[in-house]
Amino acid sequence: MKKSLLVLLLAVLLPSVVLGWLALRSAQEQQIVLERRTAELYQKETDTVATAARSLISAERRAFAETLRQMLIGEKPQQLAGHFAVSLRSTWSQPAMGFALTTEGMICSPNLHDAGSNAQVRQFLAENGSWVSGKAQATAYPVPMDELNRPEMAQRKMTYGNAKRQQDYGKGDYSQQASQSQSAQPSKSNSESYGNKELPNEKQEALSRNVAPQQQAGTESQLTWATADFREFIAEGNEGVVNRFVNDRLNMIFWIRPAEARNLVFGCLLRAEDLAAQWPDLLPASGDASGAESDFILALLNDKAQPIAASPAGSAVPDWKKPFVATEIGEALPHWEAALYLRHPERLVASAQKVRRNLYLLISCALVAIAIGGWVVMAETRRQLTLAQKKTDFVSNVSHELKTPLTSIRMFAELMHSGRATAERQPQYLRIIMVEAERLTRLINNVLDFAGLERRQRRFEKRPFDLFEMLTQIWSSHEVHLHEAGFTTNWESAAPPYPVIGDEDALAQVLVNLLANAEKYGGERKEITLRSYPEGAWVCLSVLDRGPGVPPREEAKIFEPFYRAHDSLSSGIPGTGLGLSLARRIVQEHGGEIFYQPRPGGGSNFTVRLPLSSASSS
Amino acid sequence: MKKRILLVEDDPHIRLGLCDALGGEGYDVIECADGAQAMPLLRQRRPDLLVLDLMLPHKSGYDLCREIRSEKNRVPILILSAKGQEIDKVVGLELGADDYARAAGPRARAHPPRRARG
Repeated sequence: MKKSLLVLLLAVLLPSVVLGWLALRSAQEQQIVLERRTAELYQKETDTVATAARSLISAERRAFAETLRQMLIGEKPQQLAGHFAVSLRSTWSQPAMGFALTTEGMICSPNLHDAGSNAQVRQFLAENGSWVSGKAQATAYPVPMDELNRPEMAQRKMTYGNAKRQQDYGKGDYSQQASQSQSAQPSKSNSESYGNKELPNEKQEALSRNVAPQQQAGTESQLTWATADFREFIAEGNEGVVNRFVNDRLNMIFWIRPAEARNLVFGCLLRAEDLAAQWPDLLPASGDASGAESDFILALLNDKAQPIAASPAGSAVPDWKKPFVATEIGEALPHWEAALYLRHPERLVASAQKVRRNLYLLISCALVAIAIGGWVVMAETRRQLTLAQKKTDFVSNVSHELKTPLTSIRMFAELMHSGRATAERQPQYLRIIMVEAERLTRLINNVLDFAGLERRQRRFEKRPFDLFEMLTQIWSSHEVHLHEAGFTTNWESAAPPYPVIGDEDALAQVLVNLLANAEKYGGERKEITLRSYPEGAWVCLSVLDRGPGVPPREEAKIFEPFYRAHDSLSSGIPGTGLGLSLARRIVQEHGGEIFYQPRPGGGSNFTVRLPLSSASSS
Repeated sequence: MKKRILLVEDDPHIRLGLCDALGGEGYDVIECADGAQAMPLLRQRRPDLLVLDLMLPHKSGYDLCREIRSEKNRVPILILSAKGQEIDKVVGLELGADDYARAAGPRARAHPPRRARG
């Protein structure tokens, strides 16, 4: 039993529980997986906005370059440099502040004359004059030309950018951590142009992003920045963009070193707010053709994490600093972010919960099925083992039961045969031999009948007879023996006859078995009562004793084959465990029933109910 | 003086037959049908031999055997039982019985004690 339990445990239950546990773990990860997939999907949206923003800056730079080219067609660079600020203002549609300087840092335009008449010029000179002329250093963000000219580069995976950058800089300046941002970052051109040899005070620590996307692990910015004077930023190449914050305002500086005059630098300063009208165009139109509301809100956030454009326009979110996903736009708009907010974040959770709940349900059902199956197998195994044990006990009991009467018969026969039996003892010895022979016969009959019933070979020869007559015969033959054994007997009978149809021998066997039980389990108060009485269409036979009775929890088991209420050979009570089982089968074959009741005042009451033949025929 | 035998056997017929047979051989036989009654009789009557059935009501022959030997009582014990399996004999002898006779054997008779007792 223990072995089969162990096998069941190791082969079925343990693997099931382990599999169930793994499945539960996987169920718990469903939410994370779902969120990650959604994040990947939505990241593309923010990447697109970031790319659009970079394209816008690139377009403005190209527009500036084109304007300058046009201006240089009609005028020599040296002449243009002298009045470039004024000319640009009148030529280019953007309210940009133009400037021109020599490579030595001398500002050709705007000049003090311009400053006297224009506040914008004064502001430019005050804020940027000493920086562009190389007299002061300032922190600025050089924009890699690759990023501006080839916006599709932005779609490259960060892994490439990071690896390249670290290789180039060799200092691990930038966090490798898993920001999933796909924002365009400076790669080769940046490292070539602004390698650590070129720029003093190069960035020593990573900047923090000003938003904390829920689905991105790192919050470190990928921006490249340096503190230097303007001339160092433009030392390499012939054109570019350098961004810097002045008084918390983003100034974008486009510069070109024209081929006609490499010793001159033409530039313009464009403020972020000058492009305000164009920001909303970077975002996709809200909603789709069917008018259905999209699941998310897209926003362009400035360096203070304030929305400067949102799609749908006018949307509000609880916290702009906590988008679902965000993409850093890069040096083109430093510290700006394209951010996406879920309109119904709870739906994502609910969806994951639904998947998880279904998995839980499935796993629970499987585990319950396994548990029930295991229990059924165990119960059946246990039942079979119990039956096998009972049969073993039965063989032992039967051998003992057969030997005991045989011993008596043989012993008394030998005593008489050897002449050691006195004359007065001889009749008693003979009667004992007869009684023991009867006991042996009954026992053998019980075993054979039970075997026949088990194999359904026994056939009952049913015929009408008076049960009362049979009772009289059995009772008279047993009464003497019971009296000898010290019992007081009593037969309480209602008026006969009790006509029944059945096998007389089989029903006699039932009564004999019940009387034998009453004798065996009669206890100290040796008192046996037989009651016979009709009850409606039935006739009842009750055999009552004053023994210890049947323990309540064993009442249902005493009619099972091989079961003995006072189990064990050492109890001293003989028996095979077949008598009651056989009695029940015989009674059931006759359409009746047999049951046990505790007898009031102590003892047992076994009652047999058989149908009366007059009732059955009517 | 007659040798005294205490016979502990619950089956009345076997008990009667053994009593008559042993009595006929000249022994003083004390009958007892119950394991629980055997110990007081053993102490009071001090028999020369104990003939003991194994399957007894209230107290088995094994228990009785163990109890007798635990009291340092050296009375020879002959186990008499319908149980004939080797293991029953071994258990009985291990518990202090001196010999074992099968009740339904070829001839159920009292053997002299297998081991001499002081």
